[in-house]
Amino acid sequence: MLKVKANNEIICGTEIISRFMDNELHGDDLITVEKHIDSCESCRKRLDIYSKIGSGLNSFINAEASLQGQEIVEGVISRIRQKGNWLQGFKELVLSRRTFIPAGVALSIALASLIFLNNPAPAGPSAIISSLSGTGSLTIVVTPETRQTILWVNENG
Amino acid sequence: MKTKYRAPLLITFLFFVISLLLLPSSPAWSGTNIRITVKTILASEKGNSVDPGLNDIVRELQSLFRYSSYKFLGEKGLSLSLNSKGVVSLPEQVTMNISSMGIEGDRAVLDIEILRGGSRIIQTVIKLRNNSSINIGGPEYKGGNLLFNIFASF
Repeated sequence: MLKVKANNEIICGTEIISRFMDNELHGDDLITVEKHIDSCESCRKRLDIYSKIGSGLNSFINAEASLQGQEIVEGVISRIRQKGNWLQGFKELVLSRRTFIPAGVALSIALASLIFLNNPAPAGPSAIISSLSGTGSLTIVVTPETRQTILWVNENG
Repeated sequence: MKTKYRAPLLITFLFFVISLLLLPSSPAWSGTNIRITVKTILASEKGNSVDPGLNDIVRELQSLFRYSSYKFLGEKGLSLSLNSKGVVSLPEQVTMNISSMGIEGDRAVLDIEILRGGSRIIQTVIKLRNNSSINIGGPEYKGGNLLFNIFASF
């Protein structure tokens, strides 16, 4: 409801202009206020000032939102670029022949050394016969692979 | 030296040094006892089977001997101090006397004597490498021949 004077004229003020700008007035109230603004210079000035403030505020909010959105987009793009650079660097490191070849050779030498040191070839036969005597015939054999000494006695030989 | 070669070479060097530190150290003389295990095996031409657990021993023997069957008969362990003697009783009145005579480098010096019914079949002095074995075979038993796998560690 509009506040009105005794002569049924509406009371000028910020409330009327605010409700008008916020589209809160309908029907007869809206028509009445529109007529009043047309005839009231102070209300027109007030409406003009409020309109300028409103449009300025909207521009500021839009600009701020746009700036924030841009920052987010730039952040995401930066992340993607950083990830791309990391992958690119890794690929270059692995696929680069200059690094890969010496590293591979060095690793092969290290592994070969380890294998050799852990599994040295048997040094000589497992057993060396210092003296031997017995009945029958005696045979000494050393297996070719594991160098196992075999001593065989043929009692009937 | 160019910078690009430094990192892999340094890594390799460190890897090599760490590996050397982690290598199992070969035991030298770790005490006064020589641990000996004697496995008795019957080798024969009857059948065509190798008992489980003998594969490592028999694998190379199969290419040297005509036997088709290797049967595990028993095992006995001895722990000999220096200059001491152990006796292993074997089938068919066969006896094995083993005496430790000392350690030379990575080898145990052992005097081994095999007797049948008190009569000597063989007598030998061997230098057996640490963690290695010698196979002594020949005495006849049940249509085949006895084979003794003598393993020593110290």
